[in-house]
Amino acid sequence: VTAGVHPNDTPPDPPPDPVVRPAGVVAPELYLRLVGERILRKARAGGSAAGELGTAASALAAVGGVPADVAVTVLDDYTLAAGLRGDGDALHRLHRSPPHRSGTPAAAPVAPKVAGCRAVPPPAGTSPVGGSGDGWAWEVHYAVLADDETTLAVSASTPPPWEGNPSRRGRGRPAPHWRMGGSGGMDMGDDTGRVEPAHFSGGGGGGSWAGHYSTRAALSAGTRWLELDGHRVELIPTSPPPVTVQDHSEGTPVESYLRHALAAADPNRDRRGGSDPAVDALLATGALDPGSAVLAEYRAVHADAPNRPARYWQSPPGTVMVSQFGPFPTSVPQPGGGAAAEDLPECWRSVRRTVTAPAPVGSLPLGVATPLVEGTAAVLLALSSTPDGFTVDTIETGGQAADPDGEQVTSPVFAWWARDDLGQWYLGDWSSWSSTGTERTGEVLYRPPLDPRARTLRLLPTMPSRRAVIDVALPDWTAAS
Amino acid sequence: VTQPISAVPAVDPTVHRAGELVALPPTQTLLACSGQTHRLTWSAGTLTAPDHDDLEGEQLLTALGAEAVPCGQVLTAWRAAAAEPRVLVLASRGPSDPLTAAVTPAWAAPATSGPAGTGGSSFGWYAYSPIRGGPSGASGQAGAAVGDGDPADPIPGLLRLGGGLPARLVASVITSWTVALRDGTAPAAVQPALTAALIGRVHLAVAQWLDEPAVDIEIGVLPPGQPATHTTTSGSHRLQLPFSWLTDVWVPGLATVLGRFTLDATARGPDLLLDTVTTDGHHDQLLLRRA
Repeated sequence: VTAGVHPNDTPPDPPPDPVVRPAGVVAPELYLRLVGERILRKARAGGSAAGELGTAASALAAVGGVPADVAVTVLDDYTLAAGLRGDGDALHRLHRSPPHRSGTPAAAPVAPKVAGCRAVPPPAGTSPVGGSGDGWAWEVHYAVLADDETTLAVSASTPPPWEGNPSRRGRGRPAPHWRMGGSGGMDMGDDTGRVEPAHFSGGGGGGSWAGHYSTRAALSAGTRWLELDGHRVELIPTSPPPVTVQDHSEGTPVESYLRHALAAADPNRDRRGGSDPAVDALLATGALDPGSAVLAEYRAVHADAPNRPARYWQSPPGTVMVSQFGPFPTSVPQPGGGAAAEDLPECWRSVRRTVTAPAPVGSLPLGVATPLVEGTAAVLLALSSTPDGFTVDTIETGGQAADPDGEQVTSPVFAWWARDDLGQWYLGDWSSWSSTGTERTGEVLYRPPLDPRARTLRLLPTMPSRRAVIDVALPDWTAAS
Repeated sequence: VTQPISAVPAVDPTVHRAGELVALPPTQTLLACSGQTHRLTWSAGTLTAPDHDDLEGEQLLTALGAEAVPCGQVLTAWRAAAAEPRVLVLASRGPSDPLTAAVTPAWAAPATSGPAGTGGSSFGWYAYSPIRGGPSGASGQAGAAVGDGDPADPIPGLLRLGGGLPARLVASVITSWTVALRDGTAPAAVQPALTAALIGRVHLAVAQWLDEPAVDIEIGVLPPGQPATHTTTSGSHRLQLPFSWLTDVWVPGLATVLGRFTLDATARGPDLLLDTVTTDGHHDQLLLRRA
């Protein structure tokens, strides 16, 4: 083969209009695939950016821009493609994906019976449950009398080991080992005489431990008391708070999605780069107007977020969002990277209020289950108020557990809003949890701490368009604790 | 007797211009099969297993419960993938985009790993293992693979065959869809995958042409039959190309020639006329003459 050069002095004809206009709105699936192409470029360079694609795919699927199965297919194909280029993490993600893809539960869960607890003073010379034997101050918070197991929620605390003995500073105190069951666990019995072995799950460190003793077979759901290793705990019957479901949708599905995503997103999600893949996807595909109020609200909340670095607005004006694949509309820069407090929606201003009054301390049994709300439901077992915030022991089913790394196509889960009778808002986030893929169990920590003046609290597990409403009458914490 | 693979039944190689499958030189690779080393031969769009006297008969026996032979497994998988857009997602975008992960397809795995005696279709069980930093190696890559993959996905294994066969598979897919787009028979559902396949390959080709991995380029996709265009302003490039650019230019390896980017290639008898553009935006025509 030989080559010859023939200069062509004739200017080319004007370009015709393209079928796909990369400078304009991009079809959602094509957008995802172009993000995938960018991921492959990063994979070739030894990097990994699959999180961008997963987050974008989740956003577009959530607002109906692309069918969920198409989003999953695109994500899986490009994840495999990245793996074939040497991204070993991509292959691991691909292989662990299927078990995490849960569907909508067939029916709403049923809340188990939950009771308050009061420890019975033990005979002299013995170590009480809910007392202060072996140097640990024990507290029994509530009991769950489920169909398949019986659980006692407990905590233990102790002064620092160096208190009163400075020479021990730094040594730490051993965990209350035998209390946690040690190697053999403990026995739990009921007023029918049935006894089952109970095992501890939980954790802690330093001077604080918390967890649950659970039996592997249920004790009597009607028992008036439980005995843990011979120490009796009286059960205080409680009625679950009322629960309803209400529509709270405002605006378009995209606006609802963004407002929900603000509250439901993992605080660490999407914070690694300089862009917001979900917002960029919605903008590029025309689902979101760059000048919309909800986007301004979204940016204001993020800009004001403590410990949440400003993100997409750090890009200079005109930055090509899917870099080098065309000047898609991108996240518009926000000069200054911050937002005035008055720009924040009222609920967000309230959540970020400065709290001065010390929060009450104590526990409150709930034992309430929400109906299915947009495919997700939750069982709320008990509420505990601490100086740092209040927690609700929670079981969430359905939805697609938020994926902190954006490696999967997820569907919305609850945003844990709450509001007290003073009009103050609280927002929760999972502080510790475990997941089976179809169910997430753990503790949702709400902040700021509970206002001691509040008399009722409305828990609002919230989906993009609907939410459960659970009205909780708060106790006299002084008496309760 | 060989087992022909009609890579893309709808394609008549004679109707294509520069990038017809027949323009790609024949190639072959070796495959461990039935205790021997067998050839897999590709020529003018057809993959064959010439070392089998009656592969069709062997595959009939496989359907009756006999163990599938690796050559037959590959040919079956090839036939299924030859018009599959997903090949374009997984496959290399060009010489600087090698697939480096080890893939252990069923045809390279011990016979006991397949569902022997269940009627044949035992191909498709893979293990993948990344080999960081290494170029694409020989076919097989047995021994380094770990983990497990999708048992119904033979494409990764096909893309790790040796002898340049993966490029021929990609060419088959691209040619198939070039024809379908030209004839208006490509379903709308496949358009995003085809568009992304074009843009991803164009981008890499331009990045190599300019030696600029983060090149600022805008790529537009043109309807079939529209001539490709290129404009450059203040260092940024704008390209508009039809999908057939892949068939006519990219598949034959003509994306960059003599420092120029090729917008189009057309046959002139046995020769090729290339419409090219230089980095400063000047248009040239090159004639590739068969000696």
